[in-house]
Amino acid sequence: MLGTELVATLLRATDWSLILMAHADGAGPPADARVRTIRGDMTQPRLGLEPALYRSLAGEVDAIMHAAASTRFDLPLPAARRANVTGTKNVVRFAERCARLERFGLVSTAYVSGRRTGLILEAEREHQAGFVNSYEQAKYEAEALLEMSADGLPWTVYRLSTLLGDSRTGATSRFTVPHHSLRMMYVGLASLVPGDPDCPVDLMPTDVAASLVAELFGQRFQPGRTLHLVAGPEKSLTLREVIDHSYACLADADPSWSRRPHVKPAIGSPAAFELLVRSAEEARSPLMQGALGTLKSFAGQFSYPKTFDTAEVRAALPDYDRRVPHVREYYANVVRYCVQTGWGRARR
Amino acid sequence: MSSLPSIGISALAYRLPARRVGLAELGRAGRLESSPAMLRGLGFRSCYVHDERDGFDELVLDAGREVLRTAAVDPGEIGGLFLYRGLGAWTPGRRPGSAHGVLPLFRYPVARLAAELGCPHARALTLSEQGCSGLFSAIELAWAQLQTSSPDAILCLAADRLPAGGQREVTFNLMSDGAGALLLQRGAERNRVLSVHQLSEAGYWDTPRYQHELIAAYFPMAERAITGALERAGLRLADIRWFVPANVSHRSWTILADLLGLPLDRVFTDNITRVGHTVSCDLIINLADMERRGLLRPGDRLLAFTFGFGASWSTLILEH
Repeated sequence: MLGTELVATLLRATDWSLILMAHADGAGPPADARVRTIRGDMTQPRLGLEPALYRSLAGEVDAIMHAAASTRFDLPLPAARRANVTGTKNVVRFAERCARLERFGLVSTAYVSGRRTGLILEAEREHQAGFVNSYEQAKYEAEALLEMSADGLPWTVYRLSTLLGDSRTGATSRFTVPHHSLRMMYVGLASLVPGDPDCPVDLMPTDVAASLVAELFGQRFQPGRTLHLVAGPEKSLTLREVIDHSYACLADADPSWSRRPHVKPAIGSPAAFELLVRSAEEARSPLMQGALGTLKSFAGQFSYPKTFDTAEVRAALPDYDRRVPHVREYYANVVRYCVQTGWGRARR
Repeated sequence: MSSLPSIGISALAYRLPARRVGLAELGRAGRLESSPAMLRGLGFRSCYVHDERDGFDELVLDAGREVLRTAAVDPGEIGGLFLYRGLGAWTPGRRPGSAHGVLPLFRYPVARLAAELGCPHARALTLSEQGCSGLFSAIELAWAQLQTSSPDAILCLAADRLPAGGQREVTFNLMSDGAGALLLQRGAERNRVLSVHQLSEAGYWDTPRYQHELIAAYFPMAERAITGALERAGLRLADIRWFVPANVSHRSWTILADLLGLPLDRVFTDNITRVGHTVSCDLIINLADMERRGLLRPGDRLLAFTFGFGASWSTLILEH
């Protein structure tokens, strides 16, 4: 999601030439004279590149933005590590060979904080609180790897909130767990969400996140920092408010939908949710398993209310607060996009 | 101070068929949709199945007679008789082959029950099409009528049996056939009705089509119905000594209790294992057994909850 938007923003905001390393099976970016795409695999030694190309690139690049990751929350930990830790290790190894390197950016997630609660400082990483899903843990380990092995590398970590889509159009290149949770509400299968009803649900539009990262990396780069790019509680809705607002936006996006009953899910304990998940599994109900499975790897965060400190990012970007919208300003656009495209099933 | 009279359930009784069948036997007979092991995990063990060779009418009449006897009420003084049945699988007193002309269509089973019970002057009505919520609606109608008009007592009957030889499981709940009766009486201090409350969503009328949405809606609507009922009655959860459940799965009550913050040991779940779920009589079965076992003390507040296809989520708050 972020990658495509980031490329477009960097092209607009800088005069850089970009070398994009895309997965061999992935779709390519739009053609641009300043963009060169190479096919590789960051989970492989030498990024899956031929040795000559690998050496040539190392001599050429002066900035690396590592925004590639698997953002699936439901991967088994070994698979999440392969994508996000091994991948980072191989990119760091490559970076260490780049004699001209001036900046290394790692896109991470604010949820490396895992099951921590309370105030999370940007400079903090280490904790013993555990994680809600394998993605959080793998990104935590990736950050640890960067810290420990990247001596002398000019790195900065950008910890992003959960990205939803374009703030103006609601468009997204990929429908992720929050979108699928919305779909469960739309089709009437949202029964129970685990969490604290007053837990802030931090969300960020993709274009705004890309714009912030591009400026921080492109124009205001300072090595050795970790920055939270999040909306914050004052620009967020609580879990209960997100649910209420989702139903209101769904009714606006599809007036015919509201002619039938669509019951808002209850908010309950993780224990009740786990019992419901278990019941769906025992009943071998694919529909209910699918509906609950959508939430299973994601909604655990709603039981660990936290606030991400943004002192560092606001010092780096004095207009940060002005640029981050309240979720109410764009959420309806995301909902409308999901409904009108059938969550990607229909052509626009 | 309310000027409305005290109206309570002065007597209640139920009857179950003689034949009790276990999960293993039902599984072997292909009368379950889920595995016996799965239903056992949900808290069920056996159910009561009516034998076609026995008259189901007698179960209803027997329950009715016991209630009238216990209440020591002159049946001739019963002002209303409400029969609730959620399914069409049993029609009291229906004679086979009565197909000629229109007049046989006016042979009303509920009137026959009123006559057989010695309540010829009762306003006899049949209520239906509320799934497992219907008895609650019958009680509410009776309660409202007793508050404002002349009868002193209304007899509510509830009876359902599933189609003979058919499935005994409905959406992961093991079903029993059964019949019950209760007398709602003006001036009764026992089991005083404090409130009856129902949330309805007729948009779910096509149960097979919307069954998965209903499963999803069950818990949030149940939570809403119960918390709404408590608020309307000016009560808190802590004021309720016992929950009188519909005998749906123990698992679903565990989840709902967690949602409500309700200790599960305040839900009378004993009959889930023994009887399973009846379409219309769970309230009567559970309340009668709770009384018989001495679980209830004067002044105890009870909250009964049930869900009915159609759909509705119903609560009844009583003071014992």
